[in-house]
Amino acid sequence: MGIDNLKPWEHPEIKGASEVQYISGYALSLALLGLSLLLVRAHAGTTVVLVSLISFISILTVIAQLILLFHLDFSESQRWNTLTLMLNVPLLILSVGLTSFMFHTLYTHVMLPAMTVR
Amino acid sequence: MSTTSGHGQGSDPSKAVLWAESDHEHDIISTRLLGFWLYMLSDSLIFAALFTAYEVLTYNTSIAGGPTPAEVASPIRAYIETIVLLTSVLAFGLSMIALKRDRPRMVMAWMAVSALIGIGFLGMEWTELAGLAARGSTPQRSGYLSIFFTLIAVHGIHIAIGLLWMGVMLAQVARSGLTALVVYRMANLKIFWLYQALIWTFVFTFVYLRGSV
Repeated sequence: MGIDNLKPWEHPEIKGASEVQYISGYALSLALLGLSLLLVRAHAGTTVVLVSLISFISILTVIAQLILLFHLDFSESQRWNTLTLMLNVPLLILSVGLTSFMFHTLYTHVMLPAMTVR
Repeated sequence: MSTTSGHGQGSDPSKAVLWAESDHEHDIISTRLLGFWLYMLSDSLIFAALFTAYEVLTYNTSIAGGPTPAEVASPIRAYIETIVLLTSVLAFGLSMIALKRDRPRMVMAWMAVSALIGIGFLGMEWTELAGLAARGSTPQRSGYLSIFFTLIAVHGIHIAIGLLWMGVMLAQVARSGLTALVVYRMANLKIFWLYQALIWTFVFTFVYLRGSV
């Protein structure tokens, strides 16, 4: 793959596009998120169970999108994108998780208990 | 990515070629795409901050006697928005298929379809926020409403930028055809547009569904 390539649409990034993957990514995403909607509408379980279930389904949906729509894998053309994402995810989890934990603790200890119950 | 090989040099490290002396193997499309991908990962930190703020502003103290998440965020409406946005993403995917086949007119046609559906999605986000404000649920009403409006509006701004970018690419494909510059910009736009659906998955789950649990 050189800079003087006359057919840029033959670049691996472009050639990786596939109808089957786009359509299955579309259908799978809608099916999984539809399942989450049904679970919530049916109040299928306690709050903790439901939140855990829809969180798990959202992660599954995102993984499906990354593989089927973004075409992320460990091939030569994609491995750096995949690796940088894998290094990025712990940062996101730490920033969201730790801040939520800190504020939850803060509310529990500082505010009026009656005001903090969701 | 460019590859430098020392593979043919056996296992003797003193003879290994560690990098190419010239950049004639340098793959400009992959390098630029990686750069844009890193930018999108940094953009994800903005959404991480917003989702964190959403999480800490859904306590009763932040709802402040105003409308609750269950009253503000309708999961059914959000699922319809999900269908609309993912359909736009699918249309853009079909545009990339046409790009792979070197068919610029089909690239433009599917991108226009994607943009039109995207405009529909943006309209749904706008009417939702405008409807809330008309009922007195403005961002100033409570901390919860502030972050709800902010999160949806930031996502909407991303969508608006994507739509503007599609307009620019429609003009560039029409004017220049599928040149290397146009192709890598299309690949960047694909990442940007698909990323909006990725973020929406979390918005749908942790804003709209979570509010009704």
